[in-house]
Amino acid sequence: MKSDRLLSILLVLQTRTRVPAAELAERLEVSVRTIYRDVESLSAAGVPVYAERGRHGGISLLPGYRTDVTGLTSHEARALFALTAPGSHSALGLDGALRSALRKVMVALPAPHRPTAELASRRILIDPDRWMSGPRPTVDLNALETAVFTDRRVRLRYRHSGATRSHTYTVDPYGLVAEAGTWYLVAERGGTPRLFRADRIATATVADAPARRRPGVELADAWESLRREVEERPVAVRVRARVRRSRLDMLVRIVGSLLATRVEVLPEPDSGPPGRGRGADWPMTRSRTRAGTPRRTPPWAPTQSGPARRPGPGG
Amino acid sequence: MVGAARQLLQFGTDVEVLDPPEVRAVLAETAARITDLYSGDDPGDSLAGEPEPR
Repeated sequence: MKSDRLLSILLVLQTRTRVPAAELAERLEVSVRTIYRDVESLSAAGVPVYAERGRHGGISLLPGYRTDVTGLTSHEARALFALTAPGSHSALGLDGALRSALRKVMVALPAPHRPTAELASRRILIDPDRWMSGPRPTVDLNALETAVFTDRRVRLRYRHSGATRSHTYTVDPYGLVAEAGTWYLVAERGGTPRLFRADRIATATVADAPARRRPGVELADAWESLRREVEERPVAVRVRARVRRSRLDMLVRIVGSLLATRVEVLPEPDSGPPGRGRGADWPMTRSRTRAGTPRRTPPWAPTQSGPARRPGPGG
Repeated sequence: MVGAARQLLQFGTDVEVLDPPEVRAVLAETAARITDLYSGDDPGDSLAGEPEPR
């Protein structure tokens, strides 16, 4: 399409001072004559572009001229710079590419938008890792990446959670997912999509055979259903417990993800219940059931439910 | 499944399960075994004969 070509010419010219018409023609797979006609069209549209003919000639933009060709609003630019936190892309070997891509976007941004975008990367930091995740085991995603991008089956030696030995599987990959800093391969094995934690994959060999996925199922669909499976485990046990007030935040932080009910802090009663542990240090809490009805429990006890959720999926 | 409540042991005496009794029993039993584990004079010796965690 002509408009695409005009845009491409503009983008190329903004990164170089002078580009020979023949080179543009080759890159865009049109004739040199077409390039000259495009330059005229651009010129007619008000773009300060000019062609110098001759041996050292070429197409140039007026120095300093930039257009908002990327079409990014300042809000969009901010989103882009805030989103691309370092770290999660390093496993894919894309950190360097990401940095240079952002530099290019920055250059292509209209000058008034640049400070906003730059501020986003200085004022917003997104750390994909959990607290105390420790030094990350280095995962080699190379083979997995190849399998994913070339739609091949992949042979894995995989150690399940808690197992001491590896199994060998040939699986059909849907894609790679980084969840809270941990990489997973989502792949079909035995007729169902499954999770394989990348750091428990001992070896991965890309096969020649094409991947056989379920028709119409995309990575996002498979991930969504796997995620639901992990998160929606039936509540296995309902317990009522009391928690020292000074430990309540920590408890919620550490085992909160395992709890099916919310801990609710109630105002302190005038006098604590008889028995052990009374006093201001114990939180006055109770819980709500899933339906949202407050349970009639002694006012100083939160209900904790410890469902059978495994601490980490991908077993 | 009751074993999942063992997660609460990490808070020591700052969390007390009030009910159900089965969970209290599991926690008490685990705590007793932990006491055994650490009360011996021989580090590394007490795990012999311990069942696999459920």
